[in-house]
Amino acid sequence: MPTLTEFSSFFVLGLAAGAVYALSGTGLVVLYRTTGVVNFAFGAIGMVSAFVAWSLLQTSWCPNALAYLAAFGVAVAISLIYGMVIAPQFAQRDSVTKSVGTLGFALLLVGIVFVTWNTAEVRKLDLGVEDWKLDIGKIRLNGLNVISIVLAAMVVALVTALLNRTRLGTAMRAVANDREVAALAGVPVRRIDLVAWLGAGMICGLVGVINAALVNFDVNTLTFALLVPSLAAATVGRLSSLWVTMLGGFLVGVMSRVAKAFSGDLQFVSDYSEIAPFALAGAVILWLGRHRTVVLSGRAMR
Amino acid sequence: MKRATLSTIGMAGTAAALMFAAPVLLSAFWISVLIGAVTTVMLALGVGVLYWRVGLVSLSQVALFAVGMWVTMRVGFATSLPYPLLLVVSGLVTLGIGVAIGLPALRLRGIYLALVTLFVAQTVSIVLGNLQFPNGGGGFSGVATSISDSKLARRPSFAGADVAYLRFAVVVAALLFALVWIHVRGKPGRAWASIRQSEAAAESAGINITVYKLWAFALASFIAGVAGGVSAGHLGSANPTTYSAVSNILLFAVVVISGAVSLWGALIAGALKDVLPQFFDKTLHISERWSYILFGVGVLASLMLSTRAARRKGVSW
Amino acid sequence: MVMTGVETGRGLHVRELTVRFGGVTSLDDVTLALPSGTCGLIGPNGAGKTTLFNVVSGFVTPVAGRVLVNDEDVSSMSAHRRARWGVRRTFQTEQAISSLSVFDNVLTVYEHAGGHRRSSRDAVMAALEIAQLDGLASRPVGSLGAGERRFVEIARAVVGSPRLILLDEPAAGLPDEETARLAGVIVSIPERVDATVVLIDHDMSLIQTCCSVIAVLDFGRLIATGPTADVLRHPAVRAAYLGEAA
Repeated sequence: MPTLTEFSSFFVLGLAAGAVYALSGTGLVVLYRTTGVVNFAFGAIGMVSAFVAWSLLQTSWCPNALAYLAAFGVAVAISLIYGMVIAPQFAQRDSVTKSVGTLGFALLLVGIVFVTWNTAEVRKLDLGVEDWKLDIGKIRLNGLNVISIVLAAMVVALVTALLNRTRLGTAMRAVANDREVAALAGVPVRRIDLVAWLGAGMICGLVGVINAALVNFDVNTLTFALLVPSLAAATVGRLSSLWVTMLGGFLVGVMSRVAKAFSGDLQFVSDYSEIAPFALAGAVILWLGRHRTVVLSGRAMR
Repeated sequence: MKRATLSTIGMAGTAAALMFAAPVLLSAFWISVLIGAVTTVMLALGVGVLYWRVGLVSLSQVALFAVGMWVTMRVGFATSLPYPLLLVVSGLVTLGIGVAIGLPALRLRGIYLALVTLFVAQTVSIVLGNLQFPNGGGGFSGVATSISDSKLARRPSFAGADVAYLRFAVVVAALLFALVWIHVRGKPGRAWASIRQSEAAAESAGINITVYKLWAFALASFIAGVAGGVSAGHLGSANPTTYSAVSNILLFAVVVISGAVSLWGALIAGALKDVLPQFFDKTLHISERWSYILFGVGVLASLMLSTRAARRKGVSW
Repeated sequence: MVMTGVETGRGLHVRELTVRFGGVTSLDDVTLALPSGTCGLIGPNGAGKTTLFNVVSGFVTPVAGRVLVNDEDVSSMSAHRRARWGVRRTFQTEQAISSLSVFDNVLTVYEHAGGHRRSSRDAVMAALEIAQLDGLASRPVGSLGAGERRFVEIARAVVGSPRLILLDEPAAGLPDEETARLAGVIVSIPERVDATVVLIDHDMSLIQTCCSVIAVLDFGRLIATGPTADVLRHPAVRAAYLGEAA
């Protein structure tokens, strides 16, 4: 059995990873509630920005700060392009169809990366902050962990404040609640959609680069190792509650990393650690599906 | 009914061409590609029923295919059951998994099924990554530790060579097509069409929506398992990385692009996914990585086309 | 003049039905008896007519009250169970399945209402005959005009042995000749099929032709019920309809 110190280090790693999932999950939920789209291209957009950051960091003329800014900008641009050009094509269709569109978009982005970069090359994204160390008692955190956790908490707090305290936020919540009624009340629904895509893109930009520094830098991992646990976090939040999603994200991160602390006789726990998020999400779904719901024109009534 | 008869004749013709003309005309390499395409066709058939007939998005069909492969290999090594029986066993195992996933998920909004199946796909990918595919060893996983002990999965005694195996695969595919056809033309098919058009109207017609969705999901899961079993005999061995979460998405994309043209969509899907990339690679010398771009754009284009078409017909959502 | 009908017996009876959607009371303590035959349900837009249909057919759960059809309490049955049992309804939007033939559309309802395969062909053809769709059995519904599709929904509602048929604005958008034909079909239903028919529509001539008894809702409340001619003369009813096309 691992010692408390060992558990603690993995716990911290879990918090850092969980921060990324919490942040992504929040972006996913806000976008879903506003536009009805589950953005399966979330991880892919972050991946593209990570590759852009990496390429720019390799050059001699580009200062680090600019590289990160450019990567962030690319993510925002891609997300906005989808929101302005492609998403409106499916505006009247059901949620599932709209989300299938993002599946196609994800494949497209993956293909573009395959073709533009030599993906066989082994890469690593070094943000230069891993060397900072912070010791809390016996637990050691490095700079990257701290940044992820702090950033996640800040952004989620910001998003919640935005949604609850500003006029824009009220408009977004109106659209999320009932699109037709909001439109009738004069809310510029299309523009609100774009704000949601913009926000999602910004989160992709932040998350893409941090995630790339935390995990293996290859197309598959960057695209899906972020997307799927983040979707699990969003599922735990029942695709509606931001705080529960955030909690779900941290839970998912911690569960999967702490499980890695096991070895020896309990090695299998470590081997199958990455299933933890899905077991959690699965339990939530079992719970949600326990009643028999009747669906009338998309709104469930019990 | 004339269109249906023409379609059936066309299918029979394709099957005959595969079974008799292809072995004569094509090289060993292409015969092997065709066997792979036939297994993809079977898989696409299941996904197609779910998406085009009922409107459900399942992103775990390749995962179930891989499970079917695993079961056929493991049970194949452990017993001397006749090969067709191995396929049935695999199909039943994946059917069970499908029902277990579907029971809670199908009661919720459609998007949850897509999410749950994606989670299942990732889970299967991780489990298989640890377990590896059986190669003749002992224990639960059936993985031999040394290379000298490892074996290829067996084939049916009557279909050892590739050409014979192609014919065997086509026969299995034909049986699965028949199974689907019986469903589509009968009570389940009508219920699915009702559900797809309007769940409220389906309920008011007395249809238990969850039960019929589950039925479709169970059928697709069974088919995936059988298809995997056929692939086991074809390939002999497999690498779990081939059956990652992405592969599920790619298959689904191909099914979306292939369309709902009766059951032909499945044939087109098989051609797109297995034959086209090889054609690009071997004949046109374009990297198969371009296929991702192609499929991505294809999905978007497909969705846009269907949106325009329905708008013209005056369908409102 | 508010007449409460017979409290039990054949037909549709709802008792103290209350429905609330997030703060809005769509139906307020509605107690109503509609005897067998053809009955009308009228009222201004938003009065709660479709909501009442939704509750009776099982799509909406009331916060209070019960639904009885032919003396049986169906309140605890789910929507599809009620449909199997014999509660049929049409919706304001078209719900006939465009990818299936007319025959298959009707067959679908029949087979899910517990109909036996052996008698299915006869039952479906009988329903098509009631709905005056005899020659169109093998046509795909998608190829029919909007008017014909309404008749397909009628056929779906009458096939087999329904007990209660709820028609929600079946004449909406239909030209006059079609409406007259529809009226003829609706009038024939209670004779041909042993079921109570309840009809919501804004076309008063259709209501007057088909319905012997009507109920009037306004703001979720029942304001009058009784023989058609009497109710339509009632001052409260006329006031509710002030400004609406009569």
